[in-house]
Formats: sequence, C-alpha cells, structure tokens
Amino acid sequence: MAYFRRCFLYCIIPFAALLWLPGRTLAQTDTIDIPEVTITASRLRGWQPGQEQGAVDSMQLSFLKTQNLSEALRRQGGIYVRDYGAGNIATAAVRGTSAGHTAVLWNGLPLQDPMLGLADLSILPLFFFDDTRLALGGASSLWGSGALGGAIHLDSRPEREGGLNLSYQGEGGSFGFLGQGLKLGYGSSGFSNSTKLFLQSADNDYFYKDIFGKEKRLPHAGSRQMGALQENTFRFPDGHQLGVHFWAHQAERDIPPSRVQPDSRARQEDEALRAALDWQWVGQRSSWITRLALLQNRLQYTDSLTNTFSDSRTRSILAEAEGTHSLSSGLDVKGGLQFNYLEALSDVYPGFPRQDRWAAFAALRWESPGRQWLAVVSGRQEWGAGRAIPFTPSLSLRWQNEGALEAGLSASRNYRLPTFNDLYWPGAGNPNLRPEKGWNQSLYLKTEKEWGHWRGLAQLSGFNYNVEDWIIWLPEDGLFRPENVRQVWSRGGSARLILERRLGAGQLRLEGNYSYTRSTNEGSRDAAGPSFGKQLIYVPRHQGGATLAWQSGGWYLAYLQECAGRTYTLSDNSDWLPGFTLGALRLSRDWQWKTFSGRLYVKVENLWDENYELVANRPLPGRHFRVGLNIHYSKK
Amino acid sequence: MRISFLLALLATLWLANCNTDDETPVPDDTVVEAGAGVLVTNEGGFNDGNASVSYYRFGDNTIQQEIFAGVNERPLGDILQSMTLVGDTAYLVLNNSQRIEIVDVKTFESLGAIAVQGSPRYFLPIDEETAYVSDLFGGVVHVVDLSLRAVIVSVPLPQNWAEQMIKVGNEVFVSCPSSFGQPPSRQLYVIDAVNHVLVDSIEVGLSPTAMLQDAAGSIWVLCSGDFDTNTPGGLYQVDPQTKAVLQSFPFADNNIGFAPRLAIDKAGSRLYYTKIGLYTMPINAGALPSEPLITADGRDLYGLGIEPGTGNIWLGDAGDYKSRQMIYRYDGDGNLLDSKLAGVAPSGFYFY
Repeated sequence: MAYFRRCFLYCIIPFAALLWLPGRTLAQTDTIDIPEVTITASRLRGWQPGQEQGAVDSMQLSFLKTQNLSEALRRQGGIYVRDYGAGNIATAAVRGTSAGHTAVLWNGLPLQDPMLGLADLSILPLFFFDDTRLALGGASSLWGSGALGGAIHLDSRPEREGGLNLSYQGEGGSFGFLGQGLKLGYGSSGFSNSTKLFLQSADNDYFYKDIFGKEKRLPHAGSRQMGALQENTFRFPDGHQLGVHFWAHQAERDIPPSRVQPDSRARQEDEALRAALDWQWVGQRSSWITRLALLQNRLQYTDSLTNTFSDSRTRSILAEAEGTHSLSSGLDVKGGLQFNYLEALSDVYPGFPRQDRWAAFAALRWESPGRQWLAVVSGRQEWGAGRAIPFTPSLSLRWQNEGALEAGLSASRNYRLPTFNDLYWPGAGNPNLRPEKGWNQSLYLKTEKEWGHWRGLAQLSGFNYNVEDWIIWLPEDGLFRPENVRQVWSRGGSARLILERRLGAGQLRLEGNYSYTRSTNEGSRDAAGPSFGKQLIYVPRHQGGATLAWQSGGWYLAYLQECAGRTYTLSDNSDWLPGFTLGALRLSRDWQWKTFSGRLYVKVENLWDENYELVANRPLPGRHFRVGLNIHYSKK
Repeated sequence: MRISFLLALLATLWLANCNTDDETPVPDDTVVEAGAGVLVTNEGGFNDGNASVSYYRFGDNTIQQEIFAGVNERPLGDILQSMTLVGDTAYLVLNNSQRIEIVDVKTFESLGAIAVQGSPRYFLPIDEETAYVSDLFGGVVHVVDLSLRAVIVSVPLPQNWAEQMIKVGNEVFVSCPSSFGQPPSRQLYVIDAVNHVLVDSIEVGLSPTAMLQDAAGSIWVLCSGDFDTNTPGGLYQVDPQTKAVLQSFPFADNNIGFAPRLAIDKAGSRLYYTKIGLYTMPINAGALPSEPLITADGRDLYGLGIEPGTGNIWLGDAGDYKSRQMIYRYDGDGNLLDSKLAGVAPSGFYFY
C-alpha cells in the first residue's frame, strides 16, 4: 500500500505544479518535424548511402537522458536488446546476428572490450551523447572487425557559437532510481567546451516470482555508476581544428540471483578511461583528420559463493589518419590508414596477450549531376592479429527522385576477429581460430509525402546475411573450446510508418515499425543434429513498436507500445521465452522562467504490468514510475 | 476516422505477431514402477531452469519427459547434478538452485526439500538421520540432518571441490578433483562419519572424479588428469581398509572428454568408463582395454548407466548443452538397440 501511495505522490505532485507554470510554445508546432540529427563521424556521413539508418527520435531521447543506451535501442526496429535487468549487462544484436557482431563506436572509436568483444550498453549513459544512431547492415569496409551485423554510433557535437549554457536533468522514481546529469557548455568562434557529469543509482528491488511461483523482492541488485566527460574543440585559421575528448567512468553493480537461484553474492566493478585527440583540416576540395586514442577498461568480478575473484584490465591504442579529396564535381575519394594495439592483463590469463593490427581502407564516391544517384565503392584490408583477415569490399547505392521516393541498395563483405577470450582463455583458448566472415546485402525503399495537414513517411527494407566460421564454444577434448563451426543464414525485412497531422497549434504523430527476422543455423559440427535449420536462440522472428503522441502548447503526451514474439532459449527450439507486449506513457510540460527553460515529465513504464524477460530467468520490473526535471540556462 | 482505422490495423498486427505462443507441452501423468524402466536425469543449462527427469519404459520402449514438472506442476530447478535412490525415496541434487528435492520415486511427488547454501553436487546417506552432501566450491562436505532437512555442520577439506562419496564402514571416501586456480589435487579424503572429521587421505592420480565400489569391496577411482599441463589421468583401485592403492592404470593421453563417467555392472565385476568413447574391462583385468566398445562418433558421451538385469549400456549425448539431446541403449556387446530424445544434457541413468 505504501508503495502505491508513493507512486501516486510521484505522479500527482509535479503535475499539480505543472498546471501553474507558464506555457512555452514549442518551436515544432508550426513546422512538423521528423527528427534528423547531425552526424559527426566522418566516415558515416554520406559514405554508406544505400544503408538503412535509424536515429532515436529526439523527443523520446529527451525522456531517456538519465538512462543507458540499452533503453534507447529497445524500441528501435531491427535490433534486439538482451538485458539481464537490474542495471546488469545489456547487449544488442542487429538483424539476427549476435551481440559481438554489433560495433559500438564513440566518435568513431570502438568501445567493444578486447576480451569479450562486447560493449556493455548498461554503462553507456545517453546523457553523454549528442547523437545516437543505428546503422543496420555490415560495415566492416569502413569500421573493421565487429561491424558484421551493424553499428551503433554515439557521437558528440561541438558546441555552436552561442556563449555559455548550463543544463541539468534529474530523474527519480520506483525502486530507488535516481539519475542526474549536469552539462556546462560554451561555444565561441575559436573555442568550444562541453563538460558533462553523470551520476546514476538504483536499488532495483522490484518484485518478481521465482521458479516456484513465490513472489519476492529482487535481492542484491543495487547498481551505481558515475562518469565525467570533457570535450573541447579549438578552431584555428585556415580550416584547422583540434578536438580533445576525455571520458572517465566507473560502475559498481551487485549481480542479483537468477529466478532459479536462491541468492547471489556476485559483484562487478567496471572502470573505463577513454582519451582521444583529433586534428582536422577542411579545405576547398580536400579534408583530413588524424586521431589518436587510448581506451582502457578494468573489470573486477567477485563471487564468494563460487570462490571467483577476477581482475582484468584491457588497453587499446588507436591511431588513424584519413583524407578526402574531391577529384571533380561529384567525384570524391577517401582513404585512410589505421593502427590498433590491444593488450590484456588479467589474472585469468596465464600470459600477457597483445595484438597489433594494421588496416588500410579506400572509398570512391560518385554523385550524378542531378543528385539522383549516389554510389560508393569501398574496401578495407586489415593485417595482423596473427591470422589471415579477409579483404572486405562494399558497394552502396542510393537513388532518389525529388525527395519523394528514395531507394538504397548495399552489398558488403564483413568480418569479426576472435576475441581475446576466444584465443587465450586458459586451457580453452583456441589460437587457430579464423575470423568470422560473411556477406550482407540489403535494400530499402522510402517515400515521404505532405498533403494538407498531413505528412507521412513509409519505408520498407529487406536484408540477407550469410555468415561462415561463426565461433561458438563447444565441448572438445575435455573442455569447452571456441571453434569456427557454425554457418548462419539471416534474412528478413522491416516496415516503418510515420503519420503526422497538424491540429491547430499542435500536432498528432503516429509512428510504427515492424521487423521480421529469420536467422537459422545452417551447419555446425552436429550438422544433422536437432539444432540444424533452427532459429538462433535469442532472435525473435517478430518485433514491433508504435508510438502515438500529441503535443500542443508546451504539453506532450505519448503512448508507446513495444512488442516481441517468442525468443528461443534452446538451440533445437524446444524451449522459449514467450512473446510480450509492453506499454508506456510519457507526459511532459515545457516551462520557461526568466532566462531558464526546461521540461518537467512523468513516465509510466510497463504500463500493463507485463511479466516478461529478455534473458531466461532474469526478471525485469513490472509497472513503475519516474519523474524528471530538465533545466536549461543560456547566456549569450 | 483514418487514424482509428490505422490503430485498428496496427492492433491487429500486434495481436497476430505477438500472441502466437503455443502453450508448453504438458507431460502425461506418470508412475514409476519398480524394475519397469530407467530414470534419466537431464542436467539442464546453467540458469536456464530446465533441469528435468525423463522416464523410459522397457515394456513399450517409450519415454516420458519432465515427469517431475508434470506431477508437481512446477519446474524442478537448475542443474540437476545427481540423484540418489534410498529405498523408495529419491534425492535430486540441484546444484545452481542450491537445494535437494526429496521425491517419492513411485509417484514422483515432491516430499520436500533441503536447502544447501553453496554448490551441492552429490548426496550420500550415512544413516537414517544423517546424509553428506559434497560441494563444488566450498571446500567442504555438508552434514545434513534428515529430520530437520537442514545442514547442521560442514566438514572442511583441503581442496575446494568435493565430488563423489562412498561410505565403507564408518568412513566416507571423498574424491576431490583439481579446481580452477587451485593447486592440482590427487587425493581421496577420508572422513570419520561418526564424528564428522577429516581423518586421512589417499594419493591416487591427478584430479580424482568418479568413484564406485566393486564386488570385492575395492574402490575404483577415475582420474581425469589435467588439460593445461597435458597430464593424463587414469584408473586406480584402492583398498578402503588398508588405504593402499592396489593397482594403477594411467591413461596414455588426456583426451578424456568433458566429464568422464564410471559405472559397474550389477554383479560388481565389470567396469565401464567413458574416455571420449566407452570402454569396458573386468575388474581383474591386468591392463586397460586398448579399443573402445562404443565409439563417440562426434557425440559428447555425458551420461552412462548399466541396466542391472540385462547388462545393457545406456549413454547420453550432451550435444551443444543448449538443446534436448539423445539417449542410446546398447546391448552388452555394443550393438545399438534403441535411441530416444531426452532432455537438455542427459547425464545420469538410475534403475529403480
């Protein structure tokens, strides 16, 4: 009862206050806006024209700024998030490939840990990124190892010329959640600064049912993370610009028991230090960028119940140079070189594994005089890591007709190098592993139309992946060992629809997406075994989402629906997690007071109190509530 | 008007796409008859909660799956490591659920459970009131009071991993395999089962795992060796009275499989063990067999049992440990008689 009273108070008090605030007219009310975001990662912009890209809707993102990347990706089509719940590890897989096949790039720098080959989306707070974008489809020709299924781009946007600005966003709610971010920005003609601080903590003591049907509060589930991101840009005459980025992050998480375990004493601590320096020059017909980065992770895992105490540190140094030159009108060439050094120091490894990798890539872009056609041919070759790495070519083609109709086509070869754990795990690591590799083709068709008070967008896409030498861990010679045994065929399609209608000074918007993914095991060591031809585990065939939103006079109200069909948990498809549908509500009010402005909002998550899981026996919270406040101050 | 139509269309799409899940199959009611079949324990996947027991009937060669869940209308738990039959009662050790489910074998109804904080592996009755439970990580053997259904004390051991146990007289012999990150282990430890204290140890081969007692009373120990240092294990015969190692049969290589198993026929005179393939030898043989009786042929032979009446050999294939897999019934000469799909990682065969 006390719980409900608390929830009630969370909802009512801020909204009583809201009614007294003076309204602020939204800029978007007179022009209906389909969010388009600036892209800063140089290779992304215009060099994969035929590939489908998804940006997280900026309005929805504003409700998620104190949360983590996994939350923003969950409602995106074509990607499936595996979330262990309670702030624990979350990963994302694109179009029926695996989590290790999704490159996570921060300003173009890979964030996947060399030991696991994964980036934990639970400790990547959205507050730190100005632009979150999802590229569906293989992109090894531009981004190298790991971008086999797709890539998530997390980018910073330098402050514009506009003086000083200060913003704060805080959010609190059920299960002891408190997330806060503070940003200090400054922009002038020659210099920009962005300082961001982030703090998030939660008890995650939500109710769940254990496998015997007994209702309990999730024990040992607290999580806490904090980070600081400092970014500066120095602009010099003649088109030179220096960028400095420094990010320190720390997270501590108690790992709760699964539904089948009575208790847990496991705990994980993560530390990350990321520093990057870039020098850009933009001329009339040419431009170049050089980058130097150091990425360092530390992961400590302790479990007194299983006598496990591990301490692992990984370090990666990345140096790259990339240049673009316009050969003639409509014809551009790009080329680059990259060096990547990786090392791991872990008490689970007997030695001190290190890798040097070199890569060269080149691309040619042609745009037809009427801008109807845009074509890019690119290729990349990487050397090192002690094994033969395939050459990865790519072709990407876009056609558009006066903005009304657009079609894209792309084909690429992609790969992923074995992780350090695959290669060096004591007694099990397999030094003879080959890179995973595959071909990917995709196409899309998009149309946008405006008529009267209406505006709409419809998009259809299809894809095909054939992956070979997929690494899985199997029992062999007395131990589980990774081997290049699986062949996977993933194919499917998706549809996206946006409809907007102007209503007086306001707007009504409906957005829906649906994806179908068939990803099957086409061969492994037990080719005739019960898993042959079956859907891969944790890949739902059906996935969809929709948002119905209304906004007017500073108010915003939205209902969000998310749904997924069953996901198999056994490779022979004899057991599965049932499908689910989740609802959520968002209500916000923009406000302005003197030179301050901002937004006050309330969220109800899992509105229908659905009992669901994204990973077997890892319960997720039922209906819960959040209240948030955003304050922005700027001075010219 | 158009919006409501669209909403209806979308709603229909969701219903069509999201609510297509079939109900989970409900196994038939089952009763286990003495001598009429074999109980198969399926370990399940870690944290998957899909440990189960299958029952194969000899009469019509049929198999029933998930008999515990069928009778008790709830899942059994996670990682069914072992089962011990004591009269008409079965003790099912659920490693990752940290509990031992007590079951009436005939009806397979749950009679209760014993919570064991730690990582329980095997259950051994000591007397009517007491039982021992070995532990994977705790470096202990737990002493359970059967009337309280609780651990009353834990006997510390010099090694982290306590595996199988055999009671001879008032002594319990515990095999302790080498555990990850610990010094290698070659010991059987001897516990005084009256005072619950460690009294002795016997050095055998590297990483002692499976154990059993033959007709003459000798203890046979299967040692799995060490993969890291490329040290082979072997088969060792120990006299529990004198604590002497009577015979040592070191293996020529350490190509032994993920979890080697050891079994004996009803007469207690013929040994069976897995070392990738299945090997057999009489207890009085002077040397290890050179050829397997049954080859693995790409299977992971993870479960082994010998049918008491016929001497038929039962083998379970663990496959990828992430799917339901096959069990196989062979005659004593290694000719395949039958095969059936069981649960996830079929690891044990129990004849009631």
